[in-house]
Amino acid sequence: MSEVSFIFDDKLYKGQKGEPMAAALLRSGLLSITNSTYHGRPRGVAGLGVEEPNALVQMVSGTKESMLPATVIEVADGLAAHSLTGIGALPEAPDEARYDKTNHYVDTLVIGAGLAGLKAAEEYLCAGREVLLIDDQPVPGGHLRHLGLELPAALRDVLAHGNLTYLCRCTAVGLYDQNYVVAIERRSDHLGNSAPANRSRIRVWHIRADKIVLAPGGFQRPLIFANNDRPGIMLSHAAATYVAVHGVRIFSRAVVATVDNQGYRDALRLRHAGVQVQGIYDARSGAGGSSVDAARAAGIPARFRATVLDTAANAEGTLHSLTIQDLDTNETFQIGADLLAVSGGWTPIVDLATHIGIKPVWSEEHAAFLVNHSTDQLRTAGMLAGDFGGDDDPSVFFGPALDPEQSRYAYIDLQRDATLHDLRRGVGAGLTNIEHIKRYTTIGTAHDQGKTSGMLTIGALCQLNGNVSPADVGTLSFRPPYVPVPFAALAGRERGELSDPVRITVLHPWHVEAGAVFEDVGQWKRPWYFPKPGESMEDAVRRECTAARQGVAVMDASTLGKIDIQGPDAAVFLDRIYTNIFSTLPEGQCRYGMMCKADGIAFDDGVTTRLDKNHFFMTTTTGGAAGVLAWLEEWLQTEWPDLKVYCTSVTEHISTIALVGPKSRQLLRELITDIDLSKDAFPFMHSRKATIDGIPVRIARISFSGELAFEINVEWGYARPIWERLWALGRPYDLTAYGTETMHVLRAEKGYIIIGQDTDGTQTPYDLNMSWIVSKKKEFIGKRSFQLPYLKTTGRQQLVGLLPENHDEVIPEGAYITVLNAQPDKQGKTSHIGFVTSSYYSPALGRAFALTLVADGLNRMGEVVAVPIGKKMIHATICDAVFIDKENIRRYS
Amino acid sequence: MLYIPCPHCGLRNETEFHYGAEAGVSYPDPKVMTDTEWAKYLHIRANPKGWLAERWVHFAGCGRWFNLWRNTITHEIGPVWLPFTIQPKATDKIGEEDPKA
Amino acid sequence: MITKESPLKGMNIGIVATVTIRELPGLHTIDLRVAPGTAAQVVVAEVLGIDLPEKPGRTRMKTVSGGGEAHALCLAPDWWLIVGFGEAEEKLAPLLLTNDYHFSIVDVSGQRTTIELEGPKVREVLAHLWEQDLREKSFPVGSVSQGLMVKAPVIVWHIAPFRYRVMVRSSFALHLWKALTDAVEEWM
Repeated sequence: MSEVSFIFDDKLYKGQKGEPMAAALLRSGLLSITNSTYHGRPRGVAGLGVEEPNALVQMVSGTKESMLPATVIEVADGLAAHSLTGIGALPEAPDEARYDKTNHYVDTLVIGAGLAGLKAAEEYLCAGREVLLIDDQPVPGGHLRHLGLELPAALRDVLAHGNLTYLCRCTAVGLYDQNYVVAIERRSDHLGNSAPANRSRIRVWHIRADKIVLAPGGFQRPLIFANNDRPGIMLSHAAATYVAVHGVRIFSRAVVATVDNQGYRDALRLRHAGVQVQGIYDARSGAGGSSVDAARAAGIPARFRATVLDTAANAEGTLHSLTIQDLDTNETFQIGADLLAVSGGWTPIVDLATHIGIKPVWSEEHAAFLVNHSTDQLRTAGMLAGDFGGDDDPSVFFGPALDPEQSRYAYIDLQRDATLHDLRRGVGAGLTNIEHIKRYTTIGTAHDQGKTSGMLTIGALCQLNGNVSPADVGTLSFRPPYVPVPFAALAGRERGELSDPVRITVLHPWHVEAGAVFEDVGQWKRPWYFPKPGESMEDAVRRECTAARQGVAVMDASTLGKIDIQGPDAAVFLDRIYTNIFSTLPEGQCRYGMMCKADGIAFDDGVTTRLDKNHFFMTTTTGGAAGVLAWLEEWLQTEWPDLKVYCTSVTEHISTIALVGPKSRQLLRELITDIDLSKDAFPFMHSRKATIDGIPVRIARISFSGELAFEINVEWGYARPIWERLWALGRPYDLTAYGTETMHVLRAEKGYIIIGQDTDGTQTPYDLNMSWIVSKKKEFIGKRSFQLPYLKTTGRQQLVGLLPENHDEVIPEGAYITVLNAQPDKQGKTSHIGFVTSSYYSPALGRAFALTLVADGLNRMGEVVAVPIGKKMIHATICDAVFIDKENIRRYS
Repeated sequence: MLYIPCPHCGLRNETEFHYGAEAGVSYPDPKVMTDTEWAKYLHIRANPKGWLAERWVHFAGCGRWFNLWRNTITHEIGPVWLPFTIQPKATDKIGEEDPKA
Repeated sequence: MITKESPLKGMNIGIVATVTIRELPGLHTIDLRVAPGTAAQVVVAEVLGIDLPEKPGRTRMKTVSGGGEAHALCLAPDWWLIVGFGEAEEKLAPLLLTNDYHFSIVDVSGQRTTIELEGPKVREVLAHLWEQDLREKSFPVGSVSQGLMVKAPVIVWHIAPFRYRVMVRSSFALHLWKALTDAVEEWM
């Protein structure tokens, strides 16, 4: 141990490196640390660890974490904190500390390195198992540390065993199904200034173990009496530890109030450390055992059937004197004291066990809820299993009977300032269930989640419900996390650019160099538009659209989903999947297809090419790739295993470059010289193999713009050099790169839908005015549903075009459409007939236009409708959804 | 985080799987179904409190579909079987609301 | 002259004392699908001259002409990845044409790139990102497994002691590279 300095509430304090901040503050005489949240009453340290309800601080150094109990902060050089009144403040700046996670598999996980946990670890090590031992304290041994005792030699050997991994400062925060534990390891705070920069502050452990041993120990309970919250009133085990182990010398006259023999042991420790213990007031009618005998031998007076009724404070608000009550005669008397050490019995930590739904069982003998559980997967040990390791002999006693005035200051949850009075009010209002009481009084909802208050609430409810047993009241169910966990720890490294995958095509670096502005399409980064210096988005998109319609333009379409489909039944399979026929498609040709789910709703679309008799190349939408492959596999595996078909994703094996515009053939002839690209030799919706410098490519006349267009498919790794060659060859043609915005304008001008944008998951092909794509001759997935009444009814929303009266008015996508002069109903609501799905300015049309879904839209051609945007009312006319080249002359050219 | 026994790959975290609802609902012959029967096939699946035969797919692993028994209360996982094989009995504990209690 | 580019072209090779990370670009890879236990599987294995391991997660190695190593990785009961066997398609093409046997082969060399990690702390580094059990008894040398790493679909392959390959879809490669080099930080 070495001496360190730290700052608390702007004052410099000295402490022993690694000791709890609470100990250092107490030793320097700081009894009153903060004021309570709602009542503003002075409060001091009451406990030893995470159960501490009072001594909350906010870090000023490091990550500025809030709501930390001073009992768990290890002092180190450079540490600074200030007190909190129970309401923390989030730091303004992001938490820049490093947090990470790890995944760990182990034979046996032991939670708790107290005596029970260490013995369990030893047992499994001897049986040849690998053991992970985690413990939230800085050193192993559990209560031994608080008693200032060394580990027995045999247990030190356990810690040195080659098959044991021991993690200190590691708290299991959640126990989940199938033996899954999440634990947080605090790795750098205790090092203060000397923490290495690359060391993560908190590591989240995801642990899966064949066997888990829960040996979490327990918390000592306080008692309910009037003014039981004053600084100077502490749990007896905490008081004795601060005095005996941490050298706190600020108390001179102590009183112990107890219901078990723990109070006697702590009285002895206080006495041995030089504190005058004026008396032990024991609620029981009698007690025996070595602790009681030893206290008697030391001359500490003990009185049975007596307890603390009330306390008084000095001017500073700290403990000054007590009122003791005889529980048989109800007579009271006063006694002066600056320390009241309370031992209300022990509460085993049942939290983790209740996370997976195990119900703790009340034991009258232990005056506690226990989990005595043993299966192949999980067992409990130590205090939780009822092994209290001593002769405690506790009585079921939570405090004396209090009158209404006393109960106003008889605190149950010190952090929430919730009192016995509040609880009585709850019961008076008819709430008798502990879960209802918790929500009514807020007991157990603070940072400590009822670690000391939960059992007191149960005890008080027992009395208020007519002296029933805690077994009848039942316990609270605890939920993860067991202790507060910073969000930054849960996020780990998955922040910023690592928060979600960014998928890029092989051409991405070119797009970056070309100054593209990117759009997120699912996880993909796609060029949105390519502005030239000084251009706005509108300028750039108009230029790109014009190039595609009048010259030649190029787009990276590599994000399209691509699936290789092979096998003698491939054509039969596609006939069942697509609404239209594919078995009749000649080799070397392409066909647009649409697929529906069994409910008849359009689900994905794309162009599929027949490479040869038994071999197809399917493309899907960018977002639909994984879903479509899964859909195909589901039918092959679970319904049609007799079909001889294999599907393989080649989305990233093949890169696709779309070359679009009336001059595209001319330009492509310079790149591809080994096949005839003429209109007659290579018609629309045909596919040809070709080579570029010996590199095999596949060219297809597919058009998502309505223009003469070609798609170049090439292995991913060759796409960049081929794109660059095309770019160089395209300079004389003013070849223009375009992004997704231009792609959208071009396809919408032709009325080409995007499933997911122009549909909302309720449209059939009929609703999309695509009855031509539904085969009458064959069976396919979804066909039966078209006969269902609700899909045949009139009034369904149908895809139609919309032309705003004002040619420059681009209607926001998502806008609702109403009939003209719609009258609001009694509630002031106007019912809509549809909404805008796609809306752009078309340079080719010289005006704004939109695609919409409108009820019975196909029967509303020419109708003028209204689109309310805020207070403005846009008038627009319903029209056909194809705006350009209705005769399809361009794409066939 | 369920730990799900893929019949091909072994135990894996739930994040590698997708859920496929009730097992044993096969695609009926659409041509012989009444509207009501067809709507039932489309939309109605068992969702009991207790043991349920479920479909899962190991999408991030081998990509195979399989079936398993799972207790929707306790998350216990029972026997696993492949499509087109005989469905085993859930477990002798079937019908117990909460085997952990 | 057009040359192939890898998804991680230009990325620095990360070498630290405890773990080395590098891209192995351009590994020739084909996807083989054939029903297990069929005549087709037997014939395909014969033609390739490589044992097709029958259990997902297992791999087999064979030396190919020129002294290189070819590997068959079993990913599902009817799915193998054949790595480093450039002649495989050529050998199997005639068999496909006969239509006597139902199987498929697809060149997927561009679909993924391979990141190799090696060093005494390689398991610790991987455990930051990989949710599966890496213990020697569960994932010994010669094992392969598909799963997710920082939400990206990957194939993890334990190719030699303290040496692992992570085969990642090309579009996710840069994302995974950033995550892996980040995970190394504390082990430097």
